[in-house]
Amino acid sequence: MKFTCFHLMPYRPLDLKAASDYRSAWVVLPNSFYDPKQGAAEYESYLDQLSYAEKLGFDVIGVNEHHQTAYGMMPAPNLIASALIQRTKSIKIAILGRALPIVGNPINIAEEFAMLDVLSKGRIIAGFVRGIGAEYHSTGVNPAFSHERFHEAHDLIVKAWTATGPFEFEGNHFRYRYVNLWPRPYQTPHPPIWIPSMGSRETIEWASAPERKYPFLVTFSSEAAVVRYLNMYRETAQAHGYDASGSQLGWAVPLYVADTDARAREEAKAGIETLFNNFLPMPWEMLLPPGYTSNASLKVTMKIRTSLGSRARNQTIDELIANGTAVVGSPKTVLEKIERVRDQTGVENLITMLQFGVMPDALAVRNMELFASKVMPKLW
Amino acid sequence: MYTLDMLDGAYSSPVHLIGHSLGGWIAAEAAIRNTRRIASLTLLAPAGICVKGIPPGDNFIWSPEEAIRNRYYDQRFAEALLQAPPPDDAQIDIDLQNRVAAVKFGWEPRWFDPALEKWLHRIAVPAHVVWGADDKILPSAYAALWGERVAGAQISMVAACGHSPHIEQCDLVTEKTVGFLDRVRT
Repeated sequence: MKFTCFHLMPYRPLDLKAASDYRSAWVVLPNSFYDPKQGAAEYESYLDQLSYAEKLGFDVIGVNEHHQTAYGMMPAPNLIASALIQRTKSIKIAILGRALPIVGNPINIAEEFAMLDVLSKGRIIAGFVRGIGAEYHSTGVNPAFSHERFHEAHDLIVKAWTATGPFEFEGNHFRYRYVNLWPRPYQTPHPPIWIPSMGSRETIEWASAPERKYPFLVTFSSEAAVVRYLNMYRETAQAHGYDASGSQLGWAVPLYVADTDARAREEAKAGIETLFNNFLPMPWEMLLPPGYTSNASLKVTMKIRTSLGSRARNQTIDELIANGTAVVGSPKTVLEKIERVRDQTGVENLITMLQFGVMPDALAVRNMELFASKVMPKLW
Repeated sequence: MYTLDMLDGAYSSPVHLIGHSLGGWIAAEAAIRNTRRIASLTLLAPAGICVKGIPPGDNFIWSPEEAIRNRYYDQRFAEALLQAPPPDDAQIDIDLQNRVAAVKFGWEPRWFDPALEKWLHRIAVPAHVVWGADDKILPSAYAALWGERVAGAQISMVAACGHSPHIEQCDLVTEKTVGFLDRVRT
């Protein structure tokens, strides 16, 4: 397996009690809750954690993009990627991902990724996402055109990376007389593209198409859902006439290792419960604005995603462990849980979130060290 | 344009066009283009224009209950809807489809067409704009701008009333509408 050390960069100094008066930590939580001095210390800690991942033997560092929320402090993830390039030597850096539809000019994304790829001498993995529903509230972009804008922006970016410019691009949402990327990407034909998703048939169908074969990373899902979505990708690939490789499958999961199951549960509890009960929750109206997904997908998601879309019920670490949304335990327990999913799906990319919620630096770093020394080598 | 074609196809003489909210916006868009088949316009809390500094309510972020409550001044109307039996699967599909359509038209810019206001002067038929004084979706302050832009428009402000004046103050709004149409006919 290949291992990504992934980070959301949550704003841990958040006054959780006062923040719970608001309907979500997204969109409507006043930014008076954010203290730039504490925010600076958070960036420093998190950059230290991510660059340490290289020394521990991870294959990839993963950062991500979210807007106007205490859930993650990377509205411009390429800035963090740029800082990480300077702090590391050879590890890959994955931006999981840029939210294509909510950007006014996708050429800017193509340019920035090309710059990062050249700056890092080819260490960039480009993740493409549509952004979470809340981000259509925070940016004003119309969610009804989210899919169209995603596909058009994707086509434009890939063409900008690969075709000789200048060329003209005529889309319905984006039109340019001159597309002529300077610089071009370092990697040939272009940086690998990964598709993180909460899971939808449309996304799997698109990512697995033979002309793309983009790795699909399933995020924030119970073990049963992870297995179902990854196998859906395999089946869809077969319907396209080929066998998907394990490297096309990824599982993104909050993970915590300590010497015993009991200690792991105790130490992970505050982090995991604040992630799922304080930082992540948002009402359906924010999560899935009309048009963001097909109505069929919407109805299915509302049934499956009990962990999202509501503040009504707090989830406990025991529930999250039991349904496999979080992997927590001794090295032996964690290894078994990962092997169980790998054996059912053939997944070869594990995207581990080793700091989550309010988890302090000391625990996050020890978690990274234990995972890297006690679990990772057994899965190589 | 669809509305104009429909009026052309369905009627041989001009009709009195009445539109509420998004429907009022559509009626106005049709009327600035061509009033050949339009005898008069009655707009109930129409969307379509904006007044800077007075944003509409953010109906897209409201919960279903908030959305119902914010539609009415008199909460008894909201209570009745909230206590109604939950919709069946077919109705859920229709509701979802309607919401997607509303988002397509109204998400960005929020509930208006930047090009509409500057052409409202072209509406040469009698117009009546009705607004609930306590509208939480499209603020009643917008009524004045409609009055300025549509020459001779009659403005009826309905007290103790939310975004659906024809429901919440049905008798009064019917009386005002019929009165307006009678004057137009004579």
